[in-house]
Amino acid sequence: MKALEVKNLVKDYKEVRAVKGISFEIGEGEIFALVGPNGAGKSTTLKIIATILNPTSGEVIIEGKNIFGNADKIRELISYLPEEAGAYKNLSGRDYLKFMAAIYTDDKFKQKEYLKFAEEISGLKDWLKKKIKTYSKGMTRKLLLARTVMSRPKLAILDEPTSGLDVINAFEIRNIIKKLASEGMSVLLSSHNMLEIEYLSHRLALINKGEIKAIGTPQELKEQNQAQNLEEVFVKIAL
Amino acid sequence: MKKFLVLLKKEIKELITLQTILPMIVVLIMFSLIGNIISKETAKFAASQPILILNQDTVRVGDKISEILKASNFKPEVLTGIDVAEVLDKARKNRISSVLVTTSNFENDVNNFKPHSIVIHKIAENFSISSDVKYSSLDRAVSIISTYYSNEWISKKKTGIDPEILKNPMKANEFVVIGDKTASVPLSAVSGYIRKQTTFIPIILFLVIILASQMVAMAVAGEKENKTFEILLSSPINRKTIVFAKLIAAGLVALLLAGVYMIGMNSYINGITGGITGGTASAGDGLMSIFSSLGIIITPLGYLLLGASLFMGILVGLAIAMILGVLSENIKSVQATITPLMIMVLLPYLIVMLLDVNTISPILKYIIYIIPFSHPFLASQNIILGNYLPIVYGIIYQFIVFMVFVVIATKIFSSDKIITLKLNFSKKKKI
Repeated sequence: MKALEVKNLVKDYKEVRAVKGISFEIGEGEIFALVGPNGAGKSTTLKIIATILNPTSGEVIIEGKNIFGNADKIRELISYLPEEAGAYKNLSGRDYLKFMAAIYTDDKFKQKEYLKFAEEISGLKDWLKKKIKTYSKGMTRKLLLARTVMSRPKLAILDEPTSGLDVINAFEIRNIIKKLASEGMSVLLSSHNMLEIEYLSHRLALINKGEIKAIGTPQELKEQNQAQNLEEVFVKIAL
Repeated sequence: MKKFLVLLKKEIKELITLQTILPMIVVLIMFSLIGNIISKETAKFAASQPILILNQDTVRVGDKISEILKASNFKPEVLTGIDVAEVLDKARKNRISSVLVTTSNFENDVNNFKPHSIVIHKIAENFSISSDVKYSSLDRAVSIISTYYSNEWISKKKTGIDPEILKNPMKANEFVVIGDKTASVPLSAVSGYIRKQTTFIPIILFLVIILASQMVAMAVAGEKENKTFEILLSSPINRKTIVFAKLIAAGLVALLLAGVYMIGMNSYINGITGGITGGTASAGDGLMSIFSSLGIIITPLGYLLLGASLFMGILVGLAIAMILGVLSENIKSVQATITPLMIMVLLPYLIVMLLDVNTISPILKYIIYIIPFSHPFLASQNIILGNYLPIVYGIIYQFIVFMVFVVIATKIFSSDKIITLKLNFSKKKKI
């Protein structure tokens, strides 16, 4: 079964068509990246798959379930990390993770399991006792990534997961994503960082002006476009 | 239900911060302190007021006036053989604000039925409300002296007749009729009692609705501003649960805040009214039985209905504020976004407090009835008079309005309007 199938997805904002009938699919344990310039429609696509925005037309099927009419069930299978996400500043990191664990499951045993896993993933240790308002951007991002994967969702939707992070934090987060994917979690991510895409993704789609221009593995795209790296591929296709 | 409680707990934790608790404690302490001070000060004025009498006439006059004023709870001190400047100096040194001068010929004029002027000096040190009470005591003293001599003149001319009868040959035996009940009691006593019972109800209501609305609108706008909303909306939690958790959390915290404010304000206002009115509005046991016979004692059913009307008013305010919170891009813009709601609460508050709704123009009356926040204000008057049916109709109407707005709020939360709807109050940047 495919983790995600997107078919002819269209999204209009009043007069503007932000997404123009894109289609792609993600297999289990696959890391799939959406790559494109600002305003290409990446975040809108991610938000539709995350059940936050309603599409104008098209289909989104997650683990065999169409998101139309099944949004509540779909939300149990997915976990979304927005690009500029924040956490509740007056809660401690641990309280935030506890709160989110309780949102994902009523089972106390599972909640403890989620919390333990998230604490481990975040690597924040004693900082988890402190209020989130005292955290740096990198620490908050790590906490949010831990929150995203704590329930081991079938599909993790990560919008610019390492945006604004220093090299070390970004490196740690990429390794976490890679490790979890190797354990069976499917990942849909968007990024501007071509090195990150090349390092992480099994396949990617180049998206521009709401349309998918090319799709394939990093190697396939480089060969098709006779490019040395993904950045060159991106420039050739975007222009 | 479990997820609702988890979310409710989180919402309350987010709302109760040092920034909300600290002003609450400060307000409570400040109001209680001011109330206490005013209460003590006004009690001081209610006690025997000192008054200096400079007697420039016979010894008998000084003794007589002193005797008259002592009988009326004044503390007079008669001075002779010194001039006015010296008396004023003594008054200033002893912080006495009232000086009365009985000029020569006082006794002669009084004995010959001639009007006589006495000189009064009010030593003004400040112009606060409580000082007015202090300064007016001298006017009262003059009035008491004047009444005494008026009665004496009448007695001398018309021996055997009570001067009071001559001055007031007609006396009204006042009855107050409320509904089908009648009692012999001054209307002022009834209205004073009712005002005392109902003064706080509209203030509580006004405060709670405004506070709760701000809370819930800020809770929604805060999620947007802090970029936490998208994570919450993509989590496996029903949108209705999010709506209700935010509504209830804001309602509970606002009730707590309003309760604290009201305790402080109660102490403050009791300090003012208790002292200045000398407790005239408070009813003794006799009056209480009269009020009971008039049916103006609030029954448990009355309190229950008033509470229900108040609660529904809060819920309507919360549901509307929640929608307005969605329109706010950030916490700063919440104040501007919820202004229409504040006006909707303020309008019936002022009209019901200042006017008789039954006598205002029909259009204004219908506008008042349409505004859901009018009903608790109206209920606060109706419970006193035992008119329960209009309160019940008001509660039903409020419930309908609440459900309409909750449905709208849930629809917005279930659609992508929750992300895309916004009003922008910020100025456009010039290039």
